[in-house]
Amino acid sequence: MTATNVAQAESAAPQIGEKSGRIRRFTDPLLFAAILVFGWQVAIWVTGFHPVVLPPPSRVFDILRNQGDFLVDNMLTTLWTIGWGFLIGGVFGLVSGILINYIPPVRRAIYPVLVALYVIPKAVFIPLFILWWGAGLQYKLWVTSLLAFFPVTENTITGLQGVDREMVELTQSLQGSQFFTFRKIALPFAMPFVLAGLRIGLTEAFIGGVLSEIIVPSTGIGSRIVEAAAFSNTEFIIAAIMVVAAFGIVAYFGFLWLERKITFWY
Amino acid sequence: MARTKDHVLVLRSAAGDQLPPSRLANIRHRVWNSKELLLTLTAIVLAWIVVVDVRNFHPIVLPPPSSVADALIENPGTYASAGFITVYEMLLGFAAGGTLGFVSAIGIFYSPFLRRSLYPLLLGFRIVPKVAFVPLFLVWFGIGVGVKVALASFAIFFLILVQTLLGLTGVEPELVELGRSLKMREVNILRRIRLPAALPAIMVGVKLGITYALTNVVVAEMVVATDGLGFLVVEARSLVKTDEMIAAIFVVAFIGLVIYGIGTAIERRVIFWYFEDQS
Repeated sequence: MTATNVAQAESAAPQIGEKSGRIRRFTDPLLFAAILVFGWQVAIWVTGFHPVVLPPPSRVFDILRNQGDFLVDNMLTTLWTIGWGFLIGGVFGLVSGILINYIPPVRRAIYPVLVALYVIPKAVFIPLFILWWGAGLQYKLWVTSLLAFFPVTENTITGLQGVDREMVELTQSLQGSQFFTFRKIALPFAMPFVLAGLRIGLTEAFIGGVLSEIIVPSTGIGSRIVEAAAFSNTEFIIAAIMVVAAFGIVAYFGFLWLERKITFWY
Repeated sequence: MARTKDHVLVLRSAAGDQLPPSRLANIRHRVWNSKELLLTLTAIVLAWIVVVDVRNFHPIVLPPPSSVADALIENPGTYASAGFITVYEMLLGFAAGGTLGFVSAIGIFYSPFLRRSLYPLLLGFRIVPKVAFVPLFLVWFGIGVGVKVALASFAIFFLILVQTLLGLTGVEPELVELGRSLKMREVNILRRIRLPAALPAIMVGVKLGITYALTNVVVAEMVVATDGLGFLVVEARSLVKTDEMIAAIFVVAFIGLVIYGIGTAIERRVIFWYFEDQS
């Protein structure tokens, strides 16, 4: 699916460039972030927005400093949900992907349904899940694993589908064992897709985790954001979003690094 | 882009390349036409009926398909008007965010500093659930249409931005060199070489973006809860009318599918040459 192609391009793109380019790749974003914060402050001086609408960076940094522990604690709670959801959804996705790909009748039957479900906004099921499992950890796990499951399955299937027929036939004529073919040919070829799918699944699990906390606040950083909104505590909201973004960026690029490590031959 | 027939070789070529969709499209084409699909759908509906009967589910937990159908048939107006609102907000958000994202991407592309600094930030920012901004947008825009359109535009903006950037950076240098050797001005190079070459990536963004816009609008409606299909879902839950809730979910799913179909059709139409090349 073309979402894979996006992921493919992404994992390939930033790696190109000479050494000085790569160093600047680190410093430039930081420089830009600094400029952004500066511009933010200037904008407030110039326009005099009420601090509820757009709080000055100083206030946001205050919150990050004073309530940093609180924010990180909640973020870790959310991360717990996300992590487990990603694991469950990912494992099921991989297994389903492999099964669906290798059993043609199952594939013909289920794949269209899969694509269809992949396309519809799965967040719409959240109230249904709340109805079924109450507003606690269980329902959040269902949401995150469901959200992670689909990209993983879809990309695994795509990856396995794209294996060159001739290579498979050649290998089978030389060695014969189905499993050997799978291990040596299908798996290495499908790996980039599978990993890209897992990366997308991680992103989706993140979104699902925070989203499920926003819709039914209980624990975790999403709930804290909703509470802060009730008090119009905008600086807290912005600070919390920054924390989520930081964790998300680390997770995403961490996974990207892992991906490159594993598929180094590309 | 290395236009070989072999998937394997295509993957090894330069950054920004995509797997030729035509082979996947063939697979998908065969799949969509299969009889098994119809069989599966009927099986699901039948299983639904049976499960409700056998397990004696309370209609609040899992209503039988009949009551869901009833809910839809009795009140088509509610769902239709809510659907219109949702689609309207979605289209607005997509138009606004998409245009802004596209234009910004071109601007960013031509500034190496911006490109280097924003690229990782943007990629990482994608993982931030844009829905986390709903409370912030509520403070800024108040309850109403504005919040939802703002959220959708916000989300689409980043998606289209990243996709256009990806597309532009993935253009083969040879093509650009050809343009320069013909003494084309940069504006023309942009228009006639870079953008068309970037189109597949941009189209991916458009296709995903339409669906993404729908998701965000529906989610915003669930949180803000004034009108629209997301609101119907949440309202039905608070009234504990599960059949209406599932009916609303079906309408959303249906719209999602239609939207995706439109997106794919647009993609095929716009980059028709990309598909023809491969077979």
